[in-house]
Amino acid sequence: MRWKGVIAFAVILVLLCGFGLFFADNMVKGALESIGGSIAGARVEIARFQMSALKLLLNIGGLQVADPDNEWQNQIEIKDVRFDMDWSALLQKKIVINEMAIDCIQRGTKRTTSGKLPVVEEKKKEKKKHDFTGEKTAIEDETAKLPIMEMLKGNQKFNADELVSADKLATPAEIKKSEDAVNARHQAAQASVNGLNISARVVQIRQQVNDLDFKEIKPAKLKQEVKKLKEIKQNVDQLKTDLTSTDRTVQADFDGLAGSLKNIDQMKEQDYLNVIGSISSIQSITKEGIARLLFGPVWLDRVNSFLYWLDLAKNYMPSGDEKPPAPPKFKGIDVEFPRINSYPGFLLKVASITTGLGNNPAELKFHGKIEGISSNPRLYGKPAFLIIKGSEPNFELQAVLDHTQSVSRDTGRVNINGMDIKGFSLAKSSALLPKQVSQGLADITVDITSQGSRVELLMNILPRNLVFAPEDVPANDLAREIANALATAPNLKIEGKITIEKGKPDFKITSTVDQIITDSFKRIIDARVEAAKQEARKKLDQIIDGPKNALMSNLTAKRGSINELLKGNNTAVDDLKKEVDAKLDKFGKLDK
Amino acid sequence: MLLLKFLKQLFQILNGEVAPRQVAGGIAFGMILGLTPTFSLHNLVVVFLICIIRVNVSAVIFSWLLFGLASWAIDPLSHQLGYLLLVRMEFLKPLWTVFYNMPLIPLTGFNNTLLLGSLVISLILFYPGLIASEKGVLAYRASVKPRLEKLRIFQVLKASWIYQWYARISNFRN
Repeated sequence: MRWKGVIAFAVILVLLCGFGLFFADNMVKGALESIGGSIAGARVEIARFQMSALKLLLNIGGLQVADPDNEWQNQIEIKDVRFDMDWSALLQKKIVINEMAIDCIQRGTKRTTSGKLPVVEEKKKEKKKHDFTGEKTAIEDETAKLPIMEMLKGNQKFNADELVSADKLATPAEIKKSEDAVNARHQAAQASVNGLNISARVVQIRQQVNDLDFKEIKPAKLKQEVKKLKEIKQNVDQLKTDLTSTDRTVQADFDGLAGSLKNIDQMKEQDYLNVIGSISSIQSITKEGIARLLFGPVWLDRVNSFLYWLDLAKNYMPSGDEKPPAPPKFKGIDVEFPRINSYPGFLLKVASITTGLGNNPAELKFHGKIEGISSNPRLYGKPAFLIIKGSEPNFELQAVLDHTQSVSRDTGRVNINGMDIKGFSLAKSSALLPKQVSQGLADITVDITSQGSRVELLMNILPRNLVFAPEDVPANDLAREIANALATAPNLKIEGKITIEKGKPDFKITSTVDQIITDSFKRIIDARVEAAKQEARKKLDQIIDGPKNALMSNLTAKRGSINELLKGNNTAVDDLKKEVDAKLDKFGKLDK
Repeated sequence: MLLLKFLKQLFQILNGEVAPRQVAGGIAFGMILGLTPTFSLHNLVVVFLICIIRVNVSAVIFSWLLFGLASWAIDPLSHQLGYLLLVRMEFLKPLWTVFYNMPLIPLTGFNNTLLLGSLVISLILFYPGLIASEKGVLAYRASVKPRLEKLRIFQVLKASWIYQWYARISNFRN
């Protein structure tokens, strides 16, 4: 036995006790800040910490939990937290809080120092989050394919020049064809009239008439001359008949052409209908699923935050049969050997929350009670229970976390009436919806059920009195129309059901916003289609009417020239016929 | 300076100024400190024993550091052994339950797989470690030390101005 050693050990022991007495407060405070930081994902700070084993009390003052999304703002700030501890349980390495009282909670208070966690702790936090990247990417892809998005990208701005291009129309080709037909017919008519050789034949017949000699005194000779005259008459009649027949054929041909030109008008109408048809076919949009695609990513983020807390609750309050995770290096697993009716390692019997009694406007106004938070709910035998009621806004939250069986079952219901949703984001980077709500209220009901690895959330949101700042509305006519419709819609409603099975989400969101977006889309598209129709009509007239009128003029001119030719020939034949008829009247009886 | 002092003491204890059993005891106790988690209540008992039993403190510190490094390697084995004792061996459960529900005993952290496993390993190795260390020190003094002293580098080091300077200061202080 070394007495020097005993003295040295006694000195070490005294030093340890002294260190504990002087620094225990700071050590526990530091541990609480570190654990709190890893849970909240942001810096947790305690301004005052007082631990008194003699008075059996533990007081925490000025608790600040920073906002993970805004390092210069607190998520919550609690003025005072008092614990009534069971110190005898500490000798058994158990933390039993008989009663906890939380007073004066404020939200969104400013910070003077950054609330960001050091990088290492930030990385740890990231690992715990659910990864919905795949689902979000799928939603983004699906959203990009919506006709409504095509329109916003400018793909559905109707270009009259492109839609009413001469290459795509049937009428210009028909006009060209008719033009060729008119020219061909004109040439054929001219050839057939010229083929009659009227002028030469008239000259020849006239010569024959002039060659007749009716001064002959010999009756036989005179008779022969009259006979020749009658033969000439027959030739003249034949000439007239040929000419009349050709005239009839030519007129019939030109009439046929004029008739076929009337089809051009019908064809032009058909071209117009085709153009309109191609415009109308891209305006179809189904309302189902728009809300899911637009609100989905935002809701997934919110659900992710909720799942984070739910996972945390399951982690710290494990149900019986869950397999313990692999221990970290140098840590091991703490195995519990409780007796019936003994306390678990951690137990918070009752926590009462009272806030909003002061005059501070930043202070949240609610009161509530939490019971039976335990590290071993199966041993404690009672589920954890939470009820919170608030006045501004008017809300009620009830939750039961039952981890006393082999499979955990958590249920919760939140009812909020007239919640101020100023600054509330509707959709993540949407080109359709306003970025956030400038003013507005909402009645919200959320039902949550979690059993084992399955989580189901039912949400019902009734927004009202919405106002959107112009700078928050995307700069396109559709978004403006939607924002206006949302602000004036009387019965807005968003209903969502999200089921998460083994971390994989499946969600359905239905909403009157679907109808509003569809209607707005239709109104905008209708206006665009109407303008496009008028533009198309104008363009079509420009392309078709000019050539068509030229064709008609050409037809008239060609027909006129043929008619003129026929008229000249007819006059010549008629004059000849009159001449022959007069001779025949005068000398026709001489042959008897 | 502290390192030099520590090395000097290490050479002193190895070179015959301290009883081999004291050195071996120090190494065995240091092994418990090194292999088990440092800030545990049972280590207070170990420190108490180190203080009252004549063991060499330098050997304790040397052994603590050495086995502290070794604990990195045997950590998974310690956890497995602790898990076997605490969870798999059902017949031990009543004993653990009694311990667990007693005051103060749970504060030792005996119900931690790593702590129990490493403590059991270090206790099993304690006696063999003690005997092996004693024999090792004796063997060193008998055969390794004379050969070392004959080594040229050893002589050069001993004759170097750093060693001379340190020895002078050390003697002056004494």
